[in-house]
Amino acid sequence: MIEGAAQAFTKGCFSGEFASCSYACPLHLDIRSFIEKVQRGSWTSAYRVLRDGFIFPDIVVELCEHSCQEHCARKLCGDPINICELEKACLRYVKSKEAISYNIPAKPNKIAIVGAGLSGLACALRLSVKKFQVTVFDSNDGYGGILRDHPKAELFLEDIKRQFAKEKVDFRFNTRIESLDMPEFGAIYLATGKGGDDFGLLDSWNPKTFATAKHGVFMGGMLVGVGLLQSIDHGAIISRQIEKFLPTGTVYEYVDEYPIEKSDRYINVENKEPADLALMSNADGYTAEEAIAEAKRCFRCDCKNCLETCEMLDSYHKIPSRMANDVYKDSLVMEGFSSRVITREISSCNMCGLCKTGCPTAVDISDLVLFARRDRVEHGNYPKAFHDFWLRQMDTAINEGSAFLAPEGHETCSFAFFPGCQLGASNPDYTKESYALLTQQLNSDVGLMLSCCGAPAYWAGEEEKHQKIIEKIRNEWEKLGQPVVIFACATCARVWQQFIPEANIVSLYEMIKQKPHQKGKPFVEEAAVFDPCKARENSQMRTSVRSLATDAGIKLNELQFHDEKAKCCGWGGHIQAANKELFDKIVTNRIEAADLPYIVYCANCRDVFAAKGKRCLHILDVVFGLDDGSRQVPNIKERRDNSLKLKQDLLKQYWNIDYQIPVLPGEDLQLDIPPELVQKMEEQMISETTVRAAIAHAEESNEKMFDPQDNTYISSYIEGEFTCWVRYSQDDEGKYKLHKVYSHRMKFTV
Amino acid sequence: MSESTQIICCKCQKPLEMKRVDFDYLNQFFHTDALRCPECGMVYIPEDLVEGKMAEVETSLEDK
Ligand code: SF4
Ligand code: SF4
Ligand code: SF4
Ligand SMILES: [Zn+2]
Repeated sequence: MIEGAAQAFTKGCFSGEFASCSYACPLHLDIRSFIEKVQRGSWTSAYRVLRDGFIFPDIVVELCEHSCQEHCARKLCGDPINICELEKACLRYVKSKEAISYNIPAKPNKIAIVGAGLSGLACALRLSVKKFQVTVFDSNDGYGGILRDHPKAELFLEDIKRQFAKEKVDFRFNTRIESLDMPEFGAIYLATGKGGDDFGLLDSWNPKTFATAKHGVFMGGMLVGVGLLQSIDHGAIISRQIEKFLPTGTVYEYVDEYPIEKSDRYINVENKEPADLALMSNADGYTAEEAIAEAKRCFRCDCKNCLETCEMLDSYHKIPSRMANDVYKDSLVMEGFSSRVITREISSCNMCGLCKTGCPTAVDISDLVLFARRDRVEHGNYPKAFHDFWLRQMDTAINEGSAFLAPEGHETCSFAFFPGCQLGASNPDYTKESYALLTQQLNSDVGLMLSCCGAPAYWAGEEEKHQKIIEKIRNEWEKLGQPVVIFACATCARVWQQFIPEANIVSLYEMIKQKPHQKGKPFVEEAAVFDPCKARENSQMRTSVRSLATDAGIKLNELQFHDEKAKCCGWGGHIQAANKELFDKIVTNRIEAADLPYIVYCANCRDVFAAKGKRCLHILDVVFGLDDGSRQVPNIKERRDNSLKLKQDLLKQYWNIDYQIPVLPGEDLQLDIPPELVQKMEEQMISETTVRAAIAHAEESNEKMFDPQDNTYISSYIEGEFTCWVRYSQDDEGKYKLHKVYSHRMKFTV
Repeated sequence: MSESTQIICCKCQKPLEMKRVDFDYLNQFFHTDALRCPECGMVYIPEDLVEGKMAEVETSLEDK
C-alpha cells in the first residue's frame, strides 16, 4: 500500500485538532482548554493557559481584536462566545499571576536578543525559561519598545516585569549594537521593530526559516512587517528555531501548524441547543458567576460527530484519521512478527455512509473500509471466513437462481423487474405478486431479471468478482433492449446507479403507487417507517412507500433517524461473521427505536428485525395483504429453497419452461433437528443443507466415527472456509437425529 | 478431556487415540493433541475445544 493512500480518505477529518477559534487567534491560544477551565471556575489553571499562549497575558488581552470570536462555532446558531470578556474575567479573578520557574539545569548557550520590544521579549522569556543564557540589548533605557508610549504603558510594563521576575536575563539598556559580529553568542535574534536597524539583512530574510544570510542571525517581528500581536508569535517561533539551530548549526524550515484556513472548519451544530449570551450585569465586565455561565455555552469544539452517530466507530473509539493510519500500518504487518490491529474494525462497518452525512468535511469511512478490504483481498490476507457465507449464497443467486427473460414471445421489453435475490428468498409471494401486478399494469411489456446485484462481492472487497457480475447483468440488460429497470430493493438500485448508470430505473413502489391496487390491507393502525440506509439518496422510493402505507390507512410515524439520516439495519457490509456482538447490538438498537410495528421496504431489514422478534411488515405485505408482520423468518436452507422454487414457478407460469431444481446431497434424508440446534445454526450461519451434506457424506463414505456411550456417529465436512461437525444418530426406521453441530474456521491436516 | 477414548473409527474399527493434530489458519501453523484413528488418521475435535480454545485462537489471528 502506498503511504498516504489510506490517509487520503480521512484527510478532511479534524478531530483532535484545535477548535476553529484557535486558528483565528494570532497567538493560537488553546481556547477550548482555557474555556474548559473557566467552566470549572478554575481561574489559576485558566490563567496558565492564557500565559502559555500569550506570554504576556495582560498586554495581549488588552490589545487583541478577538478575531477568534468571528470563527466561533456558536455563531452558526446564535451569538459567538464572548471570549474577550472571559479572558478579561480571568485576569481579574485569578488570585496570583506570579510567574512560575522550572527547576532545570542551566544551559551553556548564550543568545543575544537585539531589541526589547514585545517580539524580542517573547523570545527572551521563552529561552530563559528553558535556562539558556539570554542577553537583551536595547538602545532605550528600558523595555517595551513602542508600548512605552501607549496610554496603558504602566500596566504593560508591570506584566513584562512580572513574567521575567523569576528568570535571569541580562538586560543591557542604553546599548546600541553597531555590529552583529558577536562570536560569544550562539545565535542572535534581531528584533529591532518597525523601521529598526536590519544591518543590511532584511533582503536576505527567509520567511520559512526566519534566518538571514548571516549565519546564526534570525529576524522577525515588526521589523519584517507584521503587526504587534503577530510579532509576539514570531518571538515564540524564533525561540524554537534557535533551539533547533544551536546543537548543529543547521537551519530548519518552520512548519505552520496553524494555517488560517483551518479557522473555517466548524463542528456540526445541527443538534446543538441554542443558548443566549450570558448576561453582563455590570458594564465593567462579567462577575465570576456570569463568566462561568458564558463559558458553559462553549461547545469545546472537537468533532466526534461520526463516533457519536455510528455504533461501530463508537465501539472502537478510534478517530477516523487514526483508523486510516492503522489501515496503512496493517498493510506492513509481517505475519508472525507483528499483528494486525484493524482487520475486525474494517470488517465491522455496515458501509452505510451515515458518517458522511453528519461530517462537516464529508469524510466517508465506508470508502476507507472498501479500500482496506480490497487491499486485503488483493494481497490474500483478508480472513475469507468473514464473507464466505454470503459469497456462497450469492453464487447460488447468480447461477442456479438467475434468469433473464423478455416476456414470452418477445426478444426485448420496455420494462424489466429486478426483484433482487433476498425478496423472493424471504417470501416468494413478494416477487410473484409484484410481477403479476407489473405484467398487468404494463400490458405484459415487462421482463424478468432474477439475479443478485453483486453487493455481497462488493462488500467483501472482491472487486474482480463484483465486476464480472456487473458485466453479466449489463450484458443481459442490453440483450433485453435496455428496458427501464424496476427495483424492489434499495441496495440493488444503488448498485445499478453506481455501476450501470446508463440504465433508467424506477422503484417498484412508485409503479404500484401509480396504479392503486385493490388488495391493500393495513393489518396495523399505526406504524413507524424504517428507511433502509441505501434509500438515503432515493427520495422517490422513500416517498412512494410512505404514500402506499398511508393510502392503506396506516398512521405513520417517523423514527428519530429517517430519510436522509436513515441508519443501517445491521445487514449492510455483511459484518455478522466478523463481529456478531456488534451486529446484535445494532439490530437491537434499531428495533428499540420505537415501540411500534415497523413498515420496511427491504427484505433484509425485515428479516433481520423479525428474527429478533420485532413485528415488521414489508410494504408489500400491506399492498398485497400478505402478512401482518409476524411471519417467521425462513432459515438459510428455506431461503435457498424459496428462491429456486420461485424461479421454477415463474418460469412455468409465464414462459412454460420446466426448470429442474438441482438436488443437493442428503436432501431426501429423513432428519430431525431439535429446535435449539435450529436456532444455533441460524446464529452461527450453518445451513441445514450443510448438515445434510455432512451426514450424507459420512454415510456414503463411511468416513465417520462411532461413540458407543450414546450410540452416535461423528463426522466433519468442509464447506467453503468452514469445517462443520455433526454428531447424529439413526433409529431403527432409518431416520436421523442431529445431536450436535458446530463449526470452525481453521483447517486441520489429516 | 471429558470425551472418552472409546470412540472408534468406523472405517478401520480402531479406537481413537490421543495424537498430535496440525492446524493452519491465515498462514499460521500450530498443533494440539486430539483424538485420531491410529490407522487412517481420521480426527475428532470435540465441541468444547472448537468453541473454546479454537475460537479464541481464530479470533486472535484475525486481529489483535
Ligand atoms: S465527523 Fe468524523 S470524520 Fe468527520 S471531522 Fe468529525 S470526527 Fe472527523
Ligand atoms: S464554541 Fe468554544 S471551542 Fe468552539 S469555536 Fe466557539 S469558543 Fe471555540
Ligand atoms: S459507513 Fe456506516 S457503519 Fe461504516 S463507519 Fe460510516 S456510519 Fe459507521
Ligand atoms: Zn481409521
